[in-house]
Amino acid sequence: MFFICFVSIFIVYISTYMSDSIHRVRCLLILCIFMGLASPCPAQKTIKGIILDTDGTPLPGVSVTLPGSLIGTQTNGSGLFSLTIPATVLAHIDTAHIQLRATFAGFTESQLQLGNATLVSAILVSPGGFPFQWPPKTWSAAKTLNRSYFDKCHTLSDVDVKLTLALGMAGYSDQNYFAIPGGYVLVTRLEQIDAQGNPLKAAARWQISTATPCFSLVAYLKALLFATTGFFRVTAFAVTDQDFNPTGQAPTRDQALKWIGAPHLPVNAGKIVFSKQHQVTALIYEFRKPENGDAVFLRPGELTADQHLNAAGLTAALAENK
Amino acid sequence: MDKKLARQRLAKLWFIASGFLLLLFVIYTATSRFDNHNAEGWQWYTQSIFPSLTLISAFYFTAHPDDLNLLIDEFAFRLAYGISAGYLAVIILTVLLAPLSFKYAHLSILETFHQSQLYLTIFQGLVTASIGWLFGKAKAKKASRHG
Repeated sequence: MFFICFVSIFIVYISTYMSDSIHRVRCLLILCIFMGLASPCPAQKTIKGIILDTDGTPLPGVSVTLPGSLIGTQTNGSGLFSLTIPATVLAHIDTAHIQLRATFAGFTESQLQLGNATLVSAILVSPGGFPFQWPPKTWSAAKTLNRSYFDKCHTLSDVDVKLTLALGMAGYSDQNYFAIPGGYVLVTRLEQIDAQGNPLKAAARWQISTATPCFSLVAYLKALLFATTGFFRVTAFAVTDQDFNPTGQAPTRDQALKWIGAPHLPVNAGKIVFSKQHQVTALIYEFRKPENGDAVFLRPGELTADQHLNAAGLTAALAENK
Repeated sequence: MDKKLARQRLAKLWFIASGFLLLLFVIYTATSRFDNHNAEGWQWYTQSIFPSLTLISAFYFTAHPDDLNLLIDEFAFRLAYGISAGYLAVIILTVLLAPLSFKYAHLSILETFHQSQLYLTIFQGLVTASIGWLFGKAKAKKASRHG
């Protein structure tokens, strides 16, 4: 483009010194040819779009990139993105077959076929899982954790080390990570608890069906005369410097069971500096499963967030790892 | 065998068993054993017990005084009594084993009841047929004796 402009100016400059009108006309003709060459040269192109999950929920934090280049962006809180491809890059690609790549932790990578279009929508599929929606779905209880637990943290990766250490001490092993604006969410696996919020022992804790006590006459008579109710919980730790409010939608237990994200902290999220604006908020999702019916989400929960965190042993574990 | 005695023994079996289940179901209703599905629980009880219990009650309360002198076939009585006892035992076991069914098969009590309909329906037909045959055969036997 610069070359064409330079040559055009040069031709106009030369033509002004030509006395012969024929030569001047020739120069102007050459100028027209150059201008003609310049017109199809692509200008920058802005592509806008939205990324959704299979439920039609917009996905924030999805990385949208142009393969083979360093051009990329992320979707905002509404799942929208805007990507500008500079003319210099457009000059080297087939503009009729532009292809973008959408990647998000916990989801299958997707290729967005654009062609000449500038508007695109895409659906990302999570293999066997539901995304942890952001802003989050309505929770049963929430608590912003005391900042003193994370005093020595400099990056979100340090915060993750503290959290995973505390979770490990409290018996949690499977964690799922989801990138969110300004940070990440760490979601624990669905666990079975008693009515006081204490996790059930051993395998019963991670069992999906309602656990029953070991066989004894008392346990049998109790099960014979009373319905057995199961209590389930998922704890999500949101680490972000941005304010958020619940969407108002209640999650189902099946969705909570399939909040399967990346098994480790997203690299980019880990590099974010743990600023004073960052908060670590524990969101508790509590479910009750009656024997003769489907599991129901409890809003508000039967216990407070403090009671949940204490009963899970997380408060003590975080205090110990200060 | 004396028809009066046979009728009393069968009625005793049915009323004791259905009375026990009735008491259990009243307790279940009081303890919300069926959560918010009491109607479904009671529906299973009435479907399983009432058709045969109504038949027994009809023979017991509406019998003509002359019928009490009839004799019935002992084999027919034993067959009807055995099938009734077996049927009632299966119903009671279905209820009493519900906690084990929940523990090992993860079936709620209502799901257990629902599945039990598969075999109870066949069994119930046999019960009704055997009782009907028992009391129907009494007259035939009396007629053959007088003949």
